[in-house]
Amino acid sequence: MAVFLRRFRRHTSGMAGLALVLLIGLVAVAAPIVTRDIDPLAVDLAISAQPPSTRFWLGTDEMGRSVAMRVIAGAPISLAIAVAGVLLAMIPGVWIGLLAGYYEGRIGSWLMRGIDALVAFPRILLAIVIISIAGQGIIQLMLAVGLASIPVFARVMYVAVQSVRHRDYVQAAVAVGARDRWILLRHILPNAFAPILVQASLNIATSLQIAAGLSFLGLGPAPPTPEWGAIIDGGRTLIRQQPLVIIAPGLAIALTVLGFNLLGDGLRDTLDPRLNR
Amino acid sequence: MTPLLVARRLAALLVTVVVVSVATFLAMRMVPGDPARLAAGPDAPAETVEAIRREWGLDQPLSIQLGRFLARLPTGDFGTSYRTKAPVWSEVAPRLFPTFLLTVTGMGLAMLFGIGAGLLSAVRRGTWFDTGVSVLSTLGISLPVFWLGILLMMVFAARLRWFPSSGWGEWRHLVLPSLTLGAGFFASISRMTRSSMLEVLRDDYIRTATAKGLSRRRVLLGHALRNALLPIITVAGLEFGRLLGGAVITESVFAWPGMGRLLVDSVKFRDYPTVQACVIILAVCIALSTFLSDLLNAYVDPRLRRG
Repeated sequence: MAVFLRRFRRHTSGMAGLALVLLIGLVAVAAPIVTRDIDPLAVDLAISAQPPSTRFWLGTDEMGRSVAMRVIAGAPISLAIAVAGVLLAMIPGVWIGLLAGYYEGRIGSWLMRGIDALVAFPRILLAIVIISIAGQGIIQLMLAVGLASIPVFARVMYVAVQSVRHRDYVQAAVAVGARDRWILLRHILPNAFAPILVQASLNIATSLQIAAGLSFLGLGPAPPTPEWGAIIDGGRTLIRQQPLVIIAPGLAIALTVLGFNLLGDGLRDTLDPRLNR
Repeated sequence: MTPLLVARRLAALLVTVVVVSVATFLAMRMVPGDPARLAAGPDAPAETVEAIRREWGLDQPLSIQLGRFLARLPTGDFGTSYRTKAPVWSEVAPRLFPTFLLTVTGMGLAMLFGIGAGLLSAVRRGTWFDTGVSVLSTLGISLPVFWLGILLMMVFAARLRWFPSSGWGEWRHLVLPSLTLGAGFFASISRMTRSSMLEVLRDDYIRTATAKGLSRRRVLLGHALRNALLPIITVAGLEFGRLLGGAVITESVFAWPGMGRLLVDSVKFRDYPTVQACVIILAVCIALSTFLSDLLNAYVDPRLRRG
C-alpha cells in the first residue's frame, strides 16, 4: 500500500486526475450553499440569454436562469448519477464475473458468452432500451447507466479471476480443504481488486458521458433539473447569442470525465502487478 | 480462414441475432401498459383497442407471439409503427443509408488519421508530435460527443459558415457530423496503433529488415505496420459498436435523418415496434462488424487462416 502511494504520488497525470476529481467533488458538496443566493431554477424570461454580468458571471440561459448557478447545481446531480450507476453495475457485475470465473462450468461459460455479446453492444443503446422500458427521471437514468455497465464489470472480473484461478496459492487453499466461500473472498477477490478499481474510475467517466448524452437527447430527468447534458440541450437555440450556455456545462462534463479518466489510467499504471516487483 | 471456420462464425452470428431479437422482444413486453391501448391512443373506444389486439395477435399467448415475430423477421416484417400506423420497415429502410454513410465516413476518417498519427508518434516517440497526438486523443475520449458536435457547429457553421449546421443533401453536410463521430474512434485507434507499433518495432525481424538494407519506409509500412495491424483491426471491430452508439447522438445533434434519430424519437413517442426494429438492426450491424474484423484479421495474418 505504501509502495503504491509513493508510486502514485509520482504519477503526474494520475495526480492531476485526482486533483480534478477532488475539485469537482468539492463543488458538488458546496453546491447547495453556493446556489443559495441565486436560485438555479428561477425563471425570468425578461432577462433571458443575457451576456455575463456581475450578478450572472456566465450570463443567463434561454429561461433567464443563471448559467453559473445551474452548472454548479448540476455537479451533485451528474456526479450522483454516474457514481450510483457504477455502484449499481459493480455489485452484480463483480459477482457474475467472480462466480463464472471460479466455477468454470457450462453455465458460467454460456453466461460469459452472453456477457461478451453485451459488451460489444454500445452502452448508450442498452441504456436507451432500459429508459424506453423504465421511463424518464433521475432514478431511471441511474438505473439505465448502471445496468448497461454490468457486462463490462463482469468481463473485467472474469478475466481477473481467470488470471489467478490456477495460481499455486489458490490451488494450495483448495488442497488444504478451504471452503469455496473462503477462497473466493480471501484469495481471489483481493487479487482482482485492482482491475475493478481501475474500471470503476474509468466507468464513472463513461457513465457521466452517457448520462449527459441521454439528457441531451431529452431522455433524462424532466426539464428544470440542471443536469449538464440537459443544460446544453436547452442552450442549443442560443448558439449565436449566448454560447456560454453550451460551453460552460460542456467544459464541466469534459473536465470531470478527464479527471476520472486520468485517475483511472494513473491507478492502472501504478497498481499493475507486473510493475509491482 | 477455412470454410468450416467461416461457417461456424456465421452460425454464431445467426445465434447472436436470434438471441438479441428474443431479448428485445421480451424487453419490450416488460413495458407497463397495454400495447394495443398505446397504439390506439388514450381516447380510443374499447372496441378499437380490442380490434387492434386481435389484428396484431396480442390476444395470443406470449410464446406464439414470439414465434410469429421471429418467423416474420427474415422478411423484414417488424410489425406496425404505433406512431405512423405504417409498417415499421417503411420507416426504418430510408434511415439505413444515412447512418451507414455517416458511420463509414467517420470510421474511415478516424482510421486514416488515427493509424497515421499513431504510426508517426510511435516512430517519433517522446517528441512534441507524440505528446500532441496523446493530448488530442485524451481530448477525443473526454469530450462528450454532442458537445464536440455543437462546438464544431458553432465555429464552422455559425461563425465561419464553411459548412451547413445541419441537415442532409450534399457532401458538405457530411463533414461536421463525421468529424464529430470520428473523434472518439480516432482517439482509440491512434492509441492502439502507437502501442502496437512500439511493441512490433522491438522485434527481431524489424532489425533484420533494416539490416538487409530495406528503406525505412518499407520497413515501417511493409513489415511493422502489417504486424501491428492485427490488434488495430480487432479494436476497430469492437469499437464499431461504440461508433454506432455515438451515431445515435451525432444524428440528433445535426438533424441527420438516420436510424439513431429514429430510435430516439421512437423512444420518446413510446413507439415500441420501431424501437425494437432499430435495436435489432443495430445489433445485427455490430455482430456483422465483429465477423468482418475476424475475416480481415485472417486475411492480414496467414496464421489465423487455419484457425
